[in-house]
Amino acid sequence: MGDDRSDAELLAAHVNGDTDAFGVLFARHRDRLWAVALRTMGNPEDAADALQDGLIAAFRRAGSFRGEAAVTTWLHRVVVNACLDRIRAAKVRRAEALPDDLDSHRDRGSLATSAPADPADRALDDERRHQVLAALARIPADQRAALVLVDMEGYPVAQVAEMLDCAVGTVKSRCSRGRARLAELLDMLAPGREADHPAPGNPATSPPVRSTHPRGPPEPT
Amino acid sequence: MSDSDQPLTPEEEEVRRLLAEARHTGPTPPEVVVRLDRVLDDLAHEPDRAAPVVDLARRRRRVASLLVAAAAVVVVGIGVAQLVSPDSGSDTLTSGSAASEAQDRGQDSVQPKAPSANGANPGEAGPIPEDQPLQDKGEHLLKVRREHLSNDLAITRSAIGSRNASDAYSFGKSSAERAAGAACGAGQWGRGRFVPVSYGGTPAVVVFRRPVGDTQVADVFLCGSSEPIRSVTLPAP
Repeated sequence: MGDDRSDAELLAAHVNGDTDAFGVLFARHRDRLWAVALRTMGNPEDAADALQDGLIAAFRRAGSFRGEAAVTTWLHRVVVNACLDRIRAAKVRRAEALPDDLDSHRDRGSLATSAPADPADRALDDERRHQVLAALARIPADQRAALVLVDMEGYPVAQVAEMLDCAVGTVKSRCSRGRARLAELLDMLAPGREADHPAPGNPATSPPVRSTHPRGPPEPT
Repeated sequence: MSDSDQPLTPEEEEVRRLLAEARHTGPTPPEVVVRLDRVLDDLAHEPDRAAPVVDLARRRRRVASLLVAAAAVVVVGIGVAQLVSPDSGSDTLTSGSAASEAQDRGQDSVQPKAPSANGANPGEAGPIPEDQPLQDKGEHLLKVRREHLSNDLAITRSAIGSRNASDAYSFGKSSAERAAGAACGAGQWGRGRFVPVSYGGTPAVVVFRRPVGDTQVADVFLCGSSEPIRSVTLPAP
């Protein structure tokens, strides 16, 4: 089942007419491309459309691949461009695109921590993830794409610059601005604060002030 | 970007941690895999799928010649308008705006109004209703807009109707392809239904690919190019 050919060999074979090579290549990177598309688009339907756009573009433009970058970098670039193009062209309404893949993936854990066994903790994690993704959907698409590739997928900034076809400094700037905006949007998730807890600091209410005069009708004079 | 090279603040570090936790780690959903496989299969069986070699110099020459031709059409059009205008004889120096002035005066003999579905001037000025791609005056090309491409392509597809729908995706040199080639200069556009259009004012061809499942891909090629400048996925007709 496995194909030992490298990505570059598969792409070259595709260009030379091997009808199966591109499918093998795309399947090899499909899950990660899907993750990028899903997080960039914000919902599975738009992500599937964008991934299909990227697949078609990569299939047809394989002959233009010059080998300056890794094939996987090129594939990411094509798919991210498809996502951004779709967002720009179709004006996907990010704010309405709340992530709806939480239930189906809640058991798959994350990079940083394993899934908590306690249902309450797990629900809290899901809620937090939901809020993070909802906030991510509200920042500009170019910043979102940079954060998805750098902070979520963990690609080096230099490689992301190749994927996004921009300077390294531009990627850093987009990430920086995106994080700052997310920090504002996620203020309720700041360290030491939880969504259903009151804000830290002194209580807003002050002790009741007792009246020095008894209440009631005025005393007869 | 000096600020972006500074160490991350604790707040930014926390955002990074939350983003990493929110990473999607699952596989591609099976229904998406099936859909992509169908598209791949369709692509792989396009007989003329050989990767095109784009001759950039030739493309530049063709675009330049198209621009020259377009300019010539405009000049000839203005000249003809002057010749046939009944009262243009003493006003030739100002006849650069003869057509618009004549229209303002209701003189249809100078330049018949281009058919316009919404009754508005199909030029670039003024708001354009989102649900109607416009007929390009003089060129009879459907006009599709960059910012409303999906919408305009869906309407374009409806406008060309379902004639030859089953055949158009199957055979090589359809009459539509030949017509598109004649209007735009033949290119390697692959299989599909071909519609010459004006894409943001530039001559182009839209190729509607064979619908796959509940979607249909439409590629936009600028004249002289064998690489799509835009590719959108539409609901299948």
